[in-house]
Amino acid sequence: MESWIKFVIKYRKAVMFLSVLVTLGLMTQLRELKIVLDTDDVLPQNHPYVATNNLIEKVFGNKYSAIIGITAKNGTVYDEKILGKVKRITDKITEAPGVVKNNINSLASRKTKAITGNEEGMIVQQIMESEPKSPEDVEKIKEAVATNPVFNDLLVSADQKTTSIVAEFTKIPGGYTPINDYINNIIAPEKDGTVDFATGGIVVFLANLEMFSSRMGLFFLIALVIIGIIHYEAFRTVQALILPLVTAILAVIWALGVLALLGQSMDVFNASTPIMILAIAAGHAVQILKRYYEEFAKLKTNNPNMSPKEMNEEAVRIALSKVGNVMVAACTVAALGFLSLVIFDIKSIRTFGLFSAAGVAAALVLELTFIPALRCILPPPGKKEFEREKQHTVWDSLIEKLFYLVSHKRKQIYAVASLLVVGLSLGGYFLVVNNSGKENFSKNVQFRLDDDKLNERMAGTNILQFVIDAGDVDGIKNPEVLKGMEKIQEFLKKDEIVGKTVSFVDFMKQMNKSMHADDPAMYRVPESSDLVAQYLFLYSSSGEPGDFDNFVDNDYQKALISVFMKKDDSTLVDALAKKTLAYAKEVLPSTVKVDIGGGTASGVAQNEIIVREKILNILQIMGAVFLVSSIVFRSFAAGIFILIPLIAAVFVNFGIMGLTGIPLMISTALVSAMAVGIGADYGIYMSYRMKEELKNYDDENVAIEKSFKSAGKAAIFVSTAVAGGFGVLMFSFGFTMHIWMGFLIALAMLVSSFSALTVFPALILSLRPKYIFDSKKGK
Amino acid sequence: MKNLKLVAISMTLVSSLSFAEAPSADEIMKKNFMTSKFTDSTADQSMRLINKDGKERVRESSGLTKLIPGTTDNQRLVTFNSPSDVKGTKNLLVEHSDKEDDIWIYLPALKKVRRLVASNKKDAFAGTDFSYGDIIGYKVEDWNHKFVKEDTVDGKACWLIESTAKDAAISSTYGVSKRVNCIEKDSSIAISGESYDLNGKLLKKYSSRDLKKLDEKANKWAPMIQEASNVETGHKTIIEFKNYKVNTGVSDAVFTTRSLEKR
Repeated sequence: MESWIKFVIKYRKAVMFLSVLVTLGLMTQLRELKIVLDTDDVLPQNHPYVATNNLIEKVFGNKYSAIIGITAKNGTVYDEKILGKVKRITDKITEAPGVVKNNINSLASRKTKAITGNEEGMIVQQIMESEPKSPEDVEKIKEAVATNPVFNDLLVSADQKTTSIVAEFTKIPGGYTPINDYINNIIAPEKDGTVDFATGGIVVFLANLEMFSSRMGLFFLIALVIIGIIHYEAFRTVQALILPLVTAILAVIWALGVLALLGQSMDVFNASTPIMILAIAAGHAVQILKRYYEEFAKLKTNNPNMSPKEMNEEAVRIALSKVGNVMVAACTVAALGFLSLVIFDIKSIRTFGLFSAAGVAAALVLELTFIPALRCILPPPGKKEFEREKQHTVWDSLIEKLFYLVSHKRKQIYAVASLLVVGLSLGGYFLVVNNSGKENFSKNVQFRLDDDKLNERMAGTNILQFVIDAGDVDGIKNPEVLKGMEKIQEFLKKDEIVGKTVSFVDFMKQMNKSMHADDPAMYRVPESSDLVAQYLFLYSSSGEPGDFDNFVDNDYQKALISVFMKKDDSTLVDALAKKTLAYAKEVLPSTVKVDIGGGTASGVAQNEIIVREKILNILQIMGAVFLVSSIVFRSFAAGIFILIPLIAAVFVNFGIMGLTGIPLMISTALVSAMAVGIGADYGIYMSYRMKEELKNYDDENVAIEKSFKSAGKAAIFVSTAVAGGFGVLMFSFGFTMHIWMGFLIALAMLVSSFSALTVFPALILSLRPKYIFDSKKGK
Repeated sequence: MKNLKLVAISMTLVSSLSFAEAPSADEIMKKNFMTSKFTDSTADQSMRLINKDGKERVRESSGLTKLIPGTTDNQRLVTFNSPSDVKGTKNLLVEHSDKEDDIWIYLPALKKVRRLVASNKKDAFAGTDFSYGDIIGYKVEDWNHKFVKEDTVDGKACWLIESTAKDAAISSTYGVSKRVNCIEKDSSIAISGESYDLNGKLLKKYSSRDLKKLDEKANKWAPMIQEASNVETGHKTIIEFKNYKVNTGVSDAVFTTRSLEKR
């Protein structure tokens, strides 16, 4: 380390030049970096629900839907003017970017056909071909809907006050905001006070997610300012304000550049990761800066004749040679911990792992090259600056208090810690896992208000789908399969979250009825598969090929049962899915296979993964931290001790989440991973410093106190700064995803730093592990 | 001045000469309407229904046609032979220039003949991407025809004709507001075409290949392969004719509902 530092100091200009060159090089890569919002990124692609969902998209073309609800303020939607609006919006939505033209459902869409009958046979007619021009036209539409129960609550609400337009979309390169804007633009001219519009569906949800996530840019800047201010308040020097931020910003740029270089894309779910990198990088910078000031002060006292320039270089050299190794250890621990996430099944978590590891590595490289070189070029701290840094501040009082507790009140520390463990365990008991995507927004955000309206008025905006695979071509036409599907639909309808179910069976029953002169008693599954085939043939002579594409595949081997639900709470949905699956086995022929998919099922899949794998993920990072720490300190005990602040942070996080009702979901689960990744640093810095000071001082108390005042104080600076930086997210009004992350990360930072300065040293003093105390013997 | 007159005369001559070479758009479309109307015909048809992912379903059928004497109205009977679950299903279409066409379907599973009620020319023909209008033909006088240019499609010279519906009722009946066809010069068959929906958006594309002159005397032709694809749904239908024979003396009796119920 020492010779490396000497080299950097000697060739400072070249090092600076090279660092700037690398930065510029990586900056050019940023143009290649794609920022995407792809729900597939947060879904475990190997999970059966997700696989089925992908199959549904491929075979039936359903995946990203947008719903426009139109509610009559007076009377019903059966009104010439309101139906005219439906027709115009339907026509315009067929031109929307990314729309699947054959997958638009509204009273006015081409594929919305009424099936009726009379003595002569079946009549298949588009419900609304053109804008109605007379009360008679309106009456015909009303009648057509009334005689086709499949459209109830799906296209027109039971009270006839609301009608909806549902369109399916494919992924488009520009994200979902352009689609959402297009929808809002086609609605705008139709707003005349007679109707109330509400929009929803996954497209609108994702567009809102994009919109709210884009706030992160602003919050990143505010976080920078806050971290800077807290550092300034802590050190009272301009260098302390600027240098850690320079490291932090460069580390973020490097990490983003590396991501681009590796051909990876950034996703909006990782929007807060730069703030984390910022926090980690600033953390290490502060540790070195703190040491630098300490060494500079020592030199100034011991060698008053040394020139300030020489003193500056010497302070840089000593500080880095003392802290450099610790930093390498801490960064290796964190980087490997993060990197271990690349084995995950969820792309967004892989990106998080890679991005964070790159950020940590970049911070390390910068602190070993660019920063020492820059500091040698910058003027050494002036007298005023130097004095200010040495002032006794509130931070010093805090550190002194903590040290007093550790040295004199260990029992009390253990007592409080035990109480916390018990209390938080109880909290953890109440922790709910829920991936209701909508919970990412506050209840009063327009998107949530609209979604509530749509769920209240129509069948429901949350879709679960059962894929019925009969195993053979034309197998779906088998009446036994159709009857089984009918039973499954009846079973589903009994659940209170289910608003409606739709399948190919509904159309077959309607056809059967129409072929028996609309006799209501004949609203049932046809008796033979030939009859089913021939009804379909008859239908196809009036309808169009492709009218049932969303319900049954081309080979009549697979069919869908779509379930519209009022809620997307994944716990409820999971329970519904599982019991329905069990019931399906009872009522379908044994050769028929049933799979679960649909947008809401993906939420359930996320849940399962989070419960099962997120815990593994945290354990995995902890394992990496344990392993690397054990190697670095050549002691398994060290590995265990370093984990203490991490475990404390995770424990408090889950406990507080349980107590405050914050659900464990993809965004809040990431916090634990972040906390674990950052939290190890404090323990590592404290361990090194204690070990070092125990060599220097015979009096154990003095040695530990020294450690508290240097590494401990730096840890408090950093954690406060990071907590403050992340804390700004709590002001992301309307976006609970940010608010919860801001709160939880700030909490995790404070808990891990405080536990590194209370329980951690207390246990070290009580248990006296060899990895710390051996050095004393060796002295 | 004399020279100018000469130029004017020769220009008039040239333009009238070229006019004489190319028939008017209306004449072209009249010929097109009549070219495949045979006194009677029999043929086997294979209909390939292909969805947007390229998945295919094939229906085999045999067809008979006969013109109602003294009219341009055709009677058509299509009997489906496969797949097995629709085997024996029959579709009888009797055109009426002066009133709604009659369409009956016989379903063997029900052993009953059903009339397709309120069915009209824009509906799909037997589940294909062709509408009844496409099969029956578009009445020439219902449309305004415009000659666009001479063109070549697949190496065949043709006239490109744009036909717009004369009024909203006509577009509504056919579900088409505009058609653009390239009419092959020898056979008068539309070898390529496009149709536009009521909002003026492209709806379907058509093509006809493998043209055969089947009635030498009357100079009547038929394509052996016809294709229609729906731009919106990505679905397409290819109909291939085999054993196409004309003027074989098909009996009138087969075009009755009673004959439908006979095996």
